[in-house]
Amino acid sequence: MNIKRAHKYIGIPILTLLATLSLAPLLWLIVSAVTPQTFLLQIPPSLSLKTISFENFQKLFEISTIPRWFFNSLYLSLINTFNSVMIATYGGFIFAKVNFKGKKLLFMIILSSLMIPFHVTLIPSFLILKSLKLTDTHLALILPALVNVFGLFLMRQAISTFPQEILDQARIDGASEMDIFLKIIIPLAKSQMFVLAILTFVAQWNSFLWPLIVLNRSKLFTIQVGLATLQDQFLTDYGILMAGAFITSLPVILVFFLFSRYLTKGIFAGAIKS
Amino acid sequence: MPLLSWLFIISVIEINLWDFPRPAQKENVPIEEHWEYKIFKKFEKEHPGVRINFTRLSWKNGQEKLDIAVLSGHPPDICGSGFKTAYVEAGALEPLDTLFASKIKDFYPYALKPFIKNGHLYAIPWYATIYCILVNKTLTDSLGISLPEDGIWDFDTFVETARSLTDPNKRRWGFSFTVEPNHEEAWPFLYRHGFRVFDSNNQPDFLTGAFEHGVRDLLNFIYSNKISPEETGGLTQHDTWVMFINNRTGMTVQGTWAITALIRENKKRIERGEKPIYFQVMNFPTTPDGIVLTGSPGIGNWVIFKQKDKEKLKLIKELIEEILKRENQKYLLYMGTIPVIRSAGDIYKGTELEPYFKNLRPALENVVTRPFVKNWEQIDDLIARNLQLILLKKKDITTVVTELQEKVKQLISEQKVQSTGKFVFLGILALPIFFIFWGLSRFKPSRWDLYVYLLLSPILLVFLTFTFLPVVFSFLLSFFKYKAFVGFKELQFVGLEHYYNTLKDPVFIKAISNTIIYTAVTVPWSVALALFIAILLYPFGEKIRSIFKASYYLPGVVSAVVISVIWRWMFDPSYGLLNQILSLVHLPPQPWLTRPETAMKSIILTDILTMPGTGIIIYLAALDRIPSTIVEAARVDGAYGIRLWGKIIIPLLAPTTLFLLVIRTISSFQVFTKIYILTKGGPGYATNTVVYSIFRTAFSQLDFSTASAQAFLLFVAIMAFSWIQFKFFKEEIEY
Repeated sequence: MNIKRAHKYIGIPILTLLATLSLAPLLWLIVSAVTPQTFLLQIPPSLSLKTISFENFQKLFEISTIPRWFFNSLYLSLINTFNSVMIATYGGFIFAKVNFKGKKLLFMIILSSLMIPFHVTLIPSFLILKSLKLTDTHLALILPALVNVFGLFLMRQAISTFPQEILDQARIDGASEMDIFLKIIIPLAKSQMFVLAILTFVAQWNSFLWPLIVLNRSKLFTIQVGLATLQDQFLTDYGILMAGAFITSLPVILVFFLFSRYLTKGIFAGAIKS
Repeated sequence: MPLLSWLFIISVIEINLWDFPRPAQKENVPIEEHWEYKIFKKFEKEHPGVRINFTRLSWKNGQEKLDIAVLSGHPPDICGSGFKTAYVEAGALEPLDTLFASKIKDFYPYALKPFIKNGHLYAIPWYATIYCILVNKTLTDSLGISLPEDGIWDFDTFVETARSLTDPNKRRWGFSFTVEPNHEEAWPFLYRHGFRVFDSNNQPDFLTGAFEHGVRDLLNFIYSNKISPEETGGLTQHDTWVMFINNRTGMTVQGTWAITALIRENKKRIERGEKPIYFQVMNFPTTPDGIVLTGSPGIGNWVIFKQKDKEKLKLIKELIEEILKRENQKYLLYMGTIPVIRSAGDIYKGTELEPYFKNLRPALENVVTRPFVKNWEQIDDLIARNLQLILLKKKDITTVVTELQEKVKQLISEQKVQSTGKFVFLGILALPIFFIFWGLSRFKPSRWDLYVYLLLSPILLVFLTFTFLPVVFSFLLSFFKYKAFVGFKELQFVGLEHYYNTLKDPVFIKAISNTIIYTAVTVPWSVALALFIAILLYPFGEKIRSIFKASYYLPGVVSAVVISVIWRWMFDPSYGLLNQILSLVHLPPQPWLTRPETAMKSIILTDILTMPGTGIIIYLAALDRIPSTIVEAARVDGAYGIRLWGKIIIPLLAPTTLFLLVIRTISSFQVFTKIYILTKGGPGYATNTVVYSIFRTAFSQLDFSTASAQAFLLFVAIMAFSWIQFKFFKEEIEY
């Protein structure tokens, strides 16, 4: 018991120190977003409660269509998250629990695509979308996001830990694979699906290069692309830059806080079994 | 009526116009009131049936967007400042000399020169930006230094002034400049002695001594006159600008855009009741022959991409003429740029900007612009990175001179395509084909198998179209010479040449070693730290755990771009948070990103200080799954504390450790965003990594085939490492 108590006394201060370190960049982001440029650039920066202002945000809203971009990002991220989580679960189930010829090889091929840097596939992907006449539409962001290889991998690992007996029993009772997926797998995999949903939402919300390349019309921009075009005007105005960064980070932070308890519930269960 | 409207739709001609951001007439103007937008609207009104689809590019990645569009053969019709020599080589640009024949005489020759090759003109100049020296007048006045009113001075006066402005006690330098790639701020000091990169026979001109003389002047600024900071080789243009507006340097080189930017900055300062920066615009010190000259970061221009429809081409020509119209020349004021049309006259006359711009008039007669040669982007990069290394005393000038001469010569020479690798290539291609046939011949699917494949078909279809096909595409391309813009119509088979060249290239080898160093430090550290924190967290209840887990995981959800921008600021040499903290405890400021020895360490530092949120969560989940009976049994056997952890629990976690090592290795092999935002691979090649290299080869140099070859070398490396890690841990998994 002594060891346990000692552990707590030593543990908490170390953990707190590391947590502070971890959050420091974010705190700095928030502080600089609500402080006018002048105070920030003094040496040392003069920060106090008095200097807090929303001047940076005000300017940002005056000159841009941020609400529109925000809405685009939100709906695209939600659609893409829903699609890719459902498909990843579906595919994960088939690769984990259904036996068929060529499964191992097929899965290996799909998995190894994770190791190709994204920049190399950009041009061929762009060409394919162009030939489908989909550039400069939101479909160009929705279609390629349907299959998320990492998610597929994660769900396969998770689902492979589910007891086989339940599935076999259902098959004996005459359930089709679709029934098994909808009625057994989805309820069982819920918490993993939430985890994947959070990860996907964050990744989708933060994606930048691909939307930048396929979208031309400003009204279709996602918030990341929109802000990048705005930031050009404020190259030296760190305050506005940070206000923009803060607004773009807000939804993912919110999502994280709302759903973080799912992250703590037996996540990545199967990942370890790989 | 429907028929009529149908006809109307058909008759609409759409012009896809892209342009980089242009400063508006004043700050915070919505796009509809921007002067540029108004020009386009007016043009649409005067030409019924014409629609201009205007896309505003961004400085950040806008060039890549254009590169991709050109590479894939689908560029816009017309683009502002879209000129790139690689586009001409790719045959993507419409020659404009006959189209604009009547206008050409009106342009200053120096503005046309960068766009002329083999007698053809490939872009219409729009404006000129030239480099000038800005002097902080408040400082010179307070120190009693008098500046020549007309902005002309000789070399010694310049150095003398800089020396009096330098004050080490106040951490203030006399003169700051940058030699980062794609920035030629310091080049007029090389031009002063007659260096022009290429001589009259279009041969590299590094050996005549003019280059060396100029570089020695720059070296003297740093090490003997001590008027410029020692980290100059690692400074960016942004750094020098920030130093200037914060009184950390008395003089700096900037493009003329900085003049307008400073005036705006001053207005803001006055509004806020702060002291503005009074400044004077000076020319570069005169040449030994007493001539005033300067360099240019490039001439603003309009390019037309290849058109099939002659009618449309005529319309686009009219659009460019509209933009260049006399009445529209006044807008160049807002950009702080200079007209390149003689008939435009001096747009600054009578404006508040006149006192600043009038000093530059003599320099306009001698503007040295970038030469139009093949692979200019690569040549510029090569020169700039070598200059960085010389100024940081990492490389000796005499060796650099011969090296540059040799390498630049190679870059401009026409490469002969060798096809020696043909048989090897056929062998490589035959192998997988053989396996596929062999596999298919043995693949006798049952009806059940077919049913499962049917169930999987939507996934397979999307995967094939958007992932597999692009990968196969680029893999095949790595064996061909892919001409940008011409695209797949003219592929030239070169076998393994790209692989061979890549592995022979010392820059790429350096990128590999940087990536390995980065991985070797950050991956074990982050996995060990995750384990350490997980062990510390393990005994606590759900509440405490989730608070800590959230604080470790949270920064991971914010985009890498944002985190990197914050770090960039923390590392800032003058007012970065880190140097300020050091000065609080009386330690000297560190050259975080500005010296090759420290740049990679600083980047690794950002990783060391980032908590491995995912790793902690995965370890905790694994710890929770270890059956308590094992732990209890160990306790009964007398294993406690550190022994219990070291002997029993950590070995039990081996599969998790393996998993984390593998995924972390894969992601750290692909490190990119950080490098892109923090250092652009510099100073020199100190932080160039494999994926950054791939990115630069593909986009900046438009060499998509070599980039593909590099990517597949990386792919093989990642596969090999994952395999080794699996092997290495294999025995320990059996428990």
